[in-house]
Amino acid sequence: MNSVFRDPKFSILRALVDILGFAIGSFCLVWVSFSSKQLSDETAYFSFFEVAVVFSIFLTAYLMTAVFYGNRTALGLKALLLSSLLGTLIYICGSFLLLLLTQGVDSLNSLSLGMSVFVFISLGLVSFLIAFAVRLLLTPVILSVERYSLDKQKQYK
Amino acid sequence: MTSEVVWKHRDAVTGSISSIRTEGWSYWGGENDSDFNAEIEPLGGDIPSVDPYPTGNEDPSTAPMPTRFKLNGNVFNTEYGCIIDGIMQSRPEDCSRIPRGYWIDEDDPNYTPDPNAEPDTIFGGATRTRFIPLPSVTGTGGNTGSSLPTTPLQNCGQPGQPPCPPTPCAKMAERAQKVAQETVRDAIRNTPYDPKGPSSYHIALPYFDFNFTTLYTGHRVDGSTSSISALSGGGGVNNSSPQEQGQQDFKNEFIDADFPRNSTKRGADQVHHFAAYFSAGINLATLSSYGHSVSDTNLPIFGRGVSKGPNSGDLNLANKAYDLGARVRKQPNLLYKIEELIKNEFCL
Repeated sequence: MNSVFRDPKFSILRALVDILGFAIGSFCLVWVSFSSKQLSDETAYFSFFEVAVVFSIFLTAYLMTAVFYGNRTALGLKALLLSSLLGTLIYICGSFLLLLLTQGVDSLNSLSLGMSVFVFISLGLVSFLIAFAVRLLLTPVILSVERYSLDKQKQYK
Repeated sequence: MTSEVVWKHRDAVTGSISSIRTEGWSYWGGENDSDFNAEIEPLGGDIPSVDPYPTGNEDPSTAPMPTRFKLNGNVFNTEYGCIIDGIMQSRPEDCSRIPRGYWIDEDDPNYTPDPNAEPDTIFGGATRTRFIPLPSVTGTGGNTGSSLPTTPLQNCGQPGQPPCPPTPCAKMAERAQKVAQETVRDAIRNTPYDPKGPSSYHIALPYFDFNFTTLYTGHRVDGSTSSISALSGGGGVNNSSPQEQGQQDFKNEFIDADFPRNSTKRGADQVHHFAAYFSAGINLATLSSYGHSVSDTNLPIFGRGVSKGPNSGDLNLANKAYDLGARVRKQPNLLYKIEELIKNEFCL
């Protein structure tokens, strides 16, 4: 089974599952944030645009990690964690840059170092855990598809 | 909400009531204090066990009784609801928002409205046909640019004058002092004297934290997973009386950016906000406090965003309440003057 799982020919399938995990993670993160904001701000609304932005950040991080690893080979848990943390780092740095460019240095006053570290850890951890959970849940499906595909290849040979 | 067993003792001769928790500490009863602790006078009336006007700066003839004595006739927080525009309202908060004024009988040709008449707050007589509202209570604008004054009205509550605005910050400070006194008193009573052991203030601190914070937020903020998730969400629910909800007498720097000072909306309640971060400070629950503060920053998506800007009032209150909690943790004997500290640092 392990040899099948490590077969580079089927890595795209696993990459797609990871990307699906990040998509679900992005949705959950924005939803929790929306729920929190809604309790103190009745005008807050859930935005799919925000989900798309967060997802694109994690997707970019995932692709960067894949490129870093060099090819389409199966990305392990380490890569999943790295993608989560890299995506969060991109979000924080991008946010700071946006605030600096649009509102100047004073706009960063409300953000303490501790809060930034908290955002980094919590976002990174949550996105990783959700992506990991999705991968775990879909592993049987992946294995079935891969077995079926291998059988087909053997038949052709 | 946590359930607990309380032993209620009734004196067979006097009818007085006292309540004890399973661990032997007295239970003060929260909002409905007289259900759990009561001294009964010879004619059967309930004598409150504490001074209902602890600060002494309120006029007993006009100031509403504290909510905890509502069973004894606080018309602003009626036990069985009230009728507004012919519709029965059962929630105390609805009754607390009844416009105050007086009724006149327009059909009576000899009737001359008296501008200095005592306000009739809730129920008009059968022949009174028109309700003349008194000028509405005004507070301060805070960050919203409202034109409301920043100090309590000078003559409020007097006949012919508008009623005094609620003072949730001061009430909360008084509540904190009372809870502190009770928990320290219980610590002294229930702990064997040990000159080398922790002081009564040290022993009382977790009980103070529990009693004070759960009333205003429903849970302590102790860094546990549940407290992180609770604070990352809405920060809890203020279960106290309407007089202890809002931000009317908080300092300008702590006014919620999204609401005017005298707003009665749930989001404008800075009392539960203070209590949550104060508890976080007492327990050094830094992660929990960060979890909620992120939504008040100007971070895109997970904060309020670039265009809306940070909620400085909430952030200031969070930081300062956390600091006070951390100070009390380090020096629990500050509990003996916690009312003064809260009033000086947070209230107008």
